[in-house]
Amino acid sequence: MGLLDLLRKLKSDQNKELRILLLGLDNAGKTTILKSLASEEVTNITPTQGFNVKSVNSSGFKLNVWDIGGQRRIRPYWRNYFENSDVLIYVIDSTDRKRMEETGLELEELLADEKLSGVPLLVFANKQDLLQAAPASEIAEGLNLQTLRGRTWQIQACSALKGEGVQDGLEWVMKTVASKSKSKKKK
Amino acid sequence: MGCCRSKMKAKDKIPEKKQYSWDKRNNEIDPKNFIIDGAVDETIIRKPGTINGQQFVVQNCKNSKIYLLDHVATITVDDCTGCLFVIGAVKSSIFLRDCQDCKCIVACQQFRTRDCQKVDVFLSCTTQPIMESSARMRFGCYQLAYQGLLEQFQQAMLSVYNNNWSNIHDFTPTPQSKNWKMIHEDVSLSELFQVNSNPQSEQGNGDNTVGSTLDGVSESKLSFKNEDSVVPLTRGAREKRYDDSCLVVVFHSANSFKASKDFLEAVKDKVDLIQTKEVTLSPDEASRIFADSPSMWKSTQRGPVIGLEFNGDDCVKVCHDVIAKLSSEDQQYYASKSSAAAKRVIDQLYNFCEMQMIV
Repeated sequence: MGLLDLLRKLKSDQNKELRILLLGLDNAGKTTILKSLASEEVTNITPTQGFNVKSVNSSGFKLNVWDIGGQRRIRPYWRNYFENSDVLIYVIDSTDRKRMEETGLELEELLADEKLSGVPLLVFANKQDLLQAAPASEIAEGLNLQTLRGRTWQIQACSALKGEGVQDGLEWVMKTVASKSKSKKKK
Repeated sequence: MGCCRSKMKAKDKIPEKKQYSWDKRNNEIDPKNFIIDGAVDETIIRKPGTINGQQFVVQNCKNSKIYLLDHVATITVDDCTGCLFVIGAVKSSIFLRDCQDCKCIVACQQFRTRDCQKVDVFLSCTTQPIMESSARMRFGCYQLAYQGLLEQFQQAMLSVYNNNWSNIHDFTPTPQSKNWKMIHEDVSLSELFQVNSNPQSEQGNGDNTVGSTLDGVSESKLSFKNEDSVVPLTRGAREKRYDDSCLVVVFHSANSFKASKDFLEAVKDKVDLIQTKEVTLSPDEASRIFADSPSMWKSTQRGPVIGLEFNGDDCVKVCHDVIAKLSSEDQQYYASKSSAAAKRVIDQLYNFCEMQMIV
């Protein structure tokens, strides 16, 4: 293989790797979603103290998914992980009515950050299997997602525990990334 | 080009109407029945079978006693003051927020607090309990029994042998003083948690099971005595009282659960129980842990093993003596050959268990 071929291969491999950020309040279910994405068992998950990272293969892409702990005290560290993110996945505990406002404010702050500008946003309305869950439509309204400008977004109802809806969210991510890279090439 | 993109976006905004299990939810269950809101000076009892694995919410309660004698999917306890909570088995997390002066018995997979003050928790927790912005917290070992609790543990997929009650992680440690400590081991749960709002229920004194006046509790045979508790009383991170340690492993069999109980019963009052684990060992790990007893390797592969860590004078001999009495063709046990060997194997076993928790 010549040097040029090697470089070309390296470049195309690079393009096939995606950096995905998984953020949200503590107890939202981020790690359960991470494990569900990786088709791993979701029993006995310990509260995340730092971060977890997993590589997941999906339709020829290698997704590097970063799941960062969500306690109030460690949220200021989220920004250390923003750089070069291809997709932001924001996880919401749909049953946590007490903290709907708090999770909305955190999301707002994330979306205002320059490093995440234009990054596609997938919101997982998690824990839909539970009795007190608010429907995804209600959460979308509460978060004012309709008013978002300059960003592709989607809200997906899911239950990471039951493994429902997570793959549908991932499909949206893949579709969005594919169309984004196509439009980039056309430019 | 722009046109093409906006068309795509518009299509994306309307996800195909896919049916999920929650779309066909059973409307006969009223979510309001699974919330306790604003109770003041009340005693509220939810009998076994009435919550039946649903989510539960407790909020804005004052000076109340709340008994949730069932298995629960997950529970949040918010803005409560001066309350007692007795909660059977929680499948995923319990989250206490903005609570003060409360006492709580709970078994769960995850235990979390934020913005709490002065809460005593008698805990059985599969993973490492965490707290944030909470102070004057105290922790002790879960001690609870009532009819059906063991089955509820199984339904919540909790093992009575996986309890990390004393291994707390504080997200907001303060340099001057620790935000939590262990409750003194002599504290009697019976005194703290007794259902005694109705004076008649106090008649049978000395008996921790509750009087017949409180409907639904009497037939449940509620007890806070450690000899009745479904979760064995462990010393956890408390200072060890003796030099000698011993690890006993109860291998999987049709009766290994009872065999472990029998073993604990037989060594009671002779040695201290420090910690217990129920874990499935990989062949690799089994050969490392039982390096000195290759005959045991095969036994580890039958199913999850139960590990019991003991501490006490002569505890290796005490454990071997009991094994000699209890073991049979159907039930095998292993005990460390010496205290030094025990310490090595205990570290290995716990490291392996921690590894299992890593995502």
